[in-house]
Amino acid sequence: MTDKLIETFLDEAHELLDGLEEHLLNLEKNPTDVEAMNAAFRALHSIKGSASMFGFDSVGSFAHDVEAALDHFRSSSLPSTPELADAVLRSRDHIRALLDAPESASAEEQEDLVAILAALAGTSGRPEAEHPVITVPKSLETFPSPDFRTYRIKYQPSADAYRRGVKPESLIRELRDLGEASVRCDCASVPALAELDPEACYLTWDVLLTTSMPAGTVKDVFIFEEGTSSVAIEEIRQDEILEGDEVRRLGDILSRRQLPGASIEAALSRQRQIGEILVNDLGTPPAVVDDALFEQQHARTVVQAARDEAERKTIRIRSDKLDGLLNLVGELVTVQAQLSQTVKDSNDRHLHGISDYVKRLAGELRTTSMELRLIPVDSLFAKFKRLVRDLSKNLGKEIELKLEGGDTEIDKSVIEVLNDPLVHLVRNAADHGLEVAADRERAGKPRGGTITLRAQHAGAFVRISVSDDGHGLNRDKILKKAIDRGLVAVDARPSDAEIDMLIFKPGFSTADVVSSVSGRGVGLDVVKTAIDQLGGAITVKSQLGKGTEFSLDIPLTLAIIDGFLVRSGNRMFVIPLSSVDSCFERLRQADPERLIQRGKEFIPYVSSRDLFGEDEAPPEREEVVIVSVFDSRLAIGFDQVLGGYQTVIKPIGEIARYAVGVSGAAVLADGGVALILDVAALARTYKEHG
Amino acid sequence: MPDTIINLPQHASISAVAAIRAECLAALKRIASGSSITVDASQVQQADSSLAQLIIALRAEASSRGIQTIIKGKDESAFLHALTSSDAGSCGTVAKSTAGPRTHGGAA
Repeated sequence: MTDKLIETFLDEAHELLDGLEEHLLNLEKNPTDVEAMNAAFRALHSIKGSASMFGFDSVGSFAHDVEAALDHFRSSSLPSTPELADAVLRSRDHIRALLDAPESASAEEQEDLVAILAALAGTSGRPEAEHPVITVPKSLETFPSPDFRTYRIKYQPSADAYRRGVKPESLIRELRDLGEASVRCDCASVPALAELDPEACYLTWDVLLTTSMPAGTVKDVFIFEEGTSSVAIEEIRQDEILEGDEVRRLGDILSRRQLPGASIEAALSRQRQIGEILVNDLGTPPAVVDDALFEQQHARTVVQAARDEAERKTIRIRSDKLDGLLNLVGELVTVQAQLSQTVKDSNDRHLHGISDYVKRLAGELRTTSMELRLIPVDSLFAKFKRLVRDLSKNLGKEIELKLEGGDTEIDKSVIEVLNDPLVHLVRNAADHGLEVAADRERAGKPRGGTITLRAQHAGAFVRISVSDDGHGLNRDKILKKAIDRGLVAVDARPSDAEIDMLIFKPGFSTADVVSSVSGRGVGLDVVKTAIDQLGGAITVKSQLGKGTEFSLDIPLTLAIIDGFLVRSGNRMFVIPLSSVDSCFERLRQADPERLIQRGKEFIPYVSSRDLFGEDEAPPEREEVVIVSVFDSRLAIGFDQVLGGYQTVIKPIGEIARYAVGVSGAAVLADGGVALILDVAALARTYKEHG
Repeated sequence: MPDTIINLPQHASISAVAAIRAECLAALKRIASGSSITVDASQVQQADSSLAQLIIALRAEASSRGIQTIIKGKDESAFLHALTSSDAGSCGTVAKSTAGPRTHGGAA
């Protein structure tokens, strides 16, 4: 088996495990959620099946035990229990360990879990059931197509079926595993209680099954029923229930049932539902209409399932290949800029046309390849459900996690880096931010606290915030600790915002107790460093008794941006275009102001010459660019605005940490270098100090 | 008159159904029209379609005598569908037995 296949299996298994975790957390919240139970079961079933196929026998075998426990609850319509959810969550973690590093997966944990699962499944002490053979029907993605057939199966077990040890409902479940099935059970023959022989079977099953499996496989389900029970398998042509890929109307389905043509015509001419008219007015047997309705309903189910499947159709690409593609596109963007620069002085109109065309193609290619790397932040947020659930248990606090803006997309590499800082902030919120239930009640709050993870776009930035409705930052305590540590002078009078930012100082912690969750004095500075390295910023807002909110403003991408090229003396700068609000030209002021007025608004102003220094004499006029990031605006004066410029961001590493207002560099068409302005940091700085 | 309660065992599959039926018949003899009989399924962990048909027969018998049947500890419709592996919300007749008469509609 090739490494690629195994890699694909592992990717899919991880996705299934993530989904399983989510279903289990839902089930834990709502133990009677049948859909969550079924979804968890399906995820486990898929993991078991594919693990066995790919030679991960230990995973397949263990997943079988977990599946058995879940199936016991599912098939008996039992609500989930905390023990079940807990055991299956632990099992999920164990399967992950078996997949990722089998040598380090704990054998004791597996033994313990197998015993718990067996007890939950009611199979303790019984010989282990033989693992079922895995049958893999085709996905419905390509339905309708000749690959699929629909069968109508009527199964009437013989009266002695139960005595023969047959479980008819298990055979029906086997049919379900072959494809998309609709099942109804006819209990019309069940006699009066006094006449009922409890060990005789009076039920009949009617199944519509759409599957890629051959008729022989369907028949094989009833192999032990041949000659004793009544099993009729009839194939229904696809065009009898579908017209193209649309479900046929009931009248069309009924028309093949040898009803007198006049009945259907008559029914269609009246203004009521056709089934009702046929039964009530025209004497059509209800069973005939029932059958047609059953087929119509099944066709709808299958068509919907096929559409859902098709929507999920994706291809898997290794992320390093995407990185490679983006690098190439970056090179192309640079070469294209050089081409445009070279062609600018040419009189060859044909060459100008080609250059413009290359520019447009490079732009489209850039946009497309950037979009390939964007991932909904949901994939990051989803992990926090489990984290908060575990924190809630460990800390003995009732905590609800709210997720907002999960469909906000962000570059894959940014998501990878964001995980640890967010984990830290959520742990902090749970441990230090939220009060215990008794304290909350005393403060007139609900017993359970809430942590909210929210994502939102703003131009080239994404703001991700972690907020809690806990007691808020204790500024007196923070200031005292800072003074004790010599971080703040004894007589200093810092503002609230300045005090809040002290918590990002290395080693700073006001936690009284060092817990397993947080409070070791290691952390928020690490969070800030990680965000700084992303070219982002972290801020905190807090209200005593109300809660705290940490906001991380992160650049949407770390690779290529649409920029706005500006000049200050001999230096070139690129401003991310999405941050540019407007620009205007004016006479340079002899005595530069700190604020400029635009309409009714006063905006902090700074000259690029003051920001970055410049010896050359300034021109008479300056061009002022107004930038805006979230709620901060800043006006920056430049010597010249050169216009839109697509650019590849080149990291400048550690230098960026010391060069406030610069987030990277770009190679220009003439080979020169322009600095990319970190307008978020600049706007924030001048908002605070302006 | 207090409700008559029939407690279903944890394992209510074919091997237990005869005893449950006997208990049901005895209960029906004891109670009068207008009262109710409660089948407590909250302890059931294992069951199969033989229990489904027994519940259907009990409900029909009780109804004919003017006695109400209540299933405790489970959603009755979902329970019967799970026992018979049939679809909830389908036009299946197990649903009909609990949901009352249906109309024959459908889009024309």
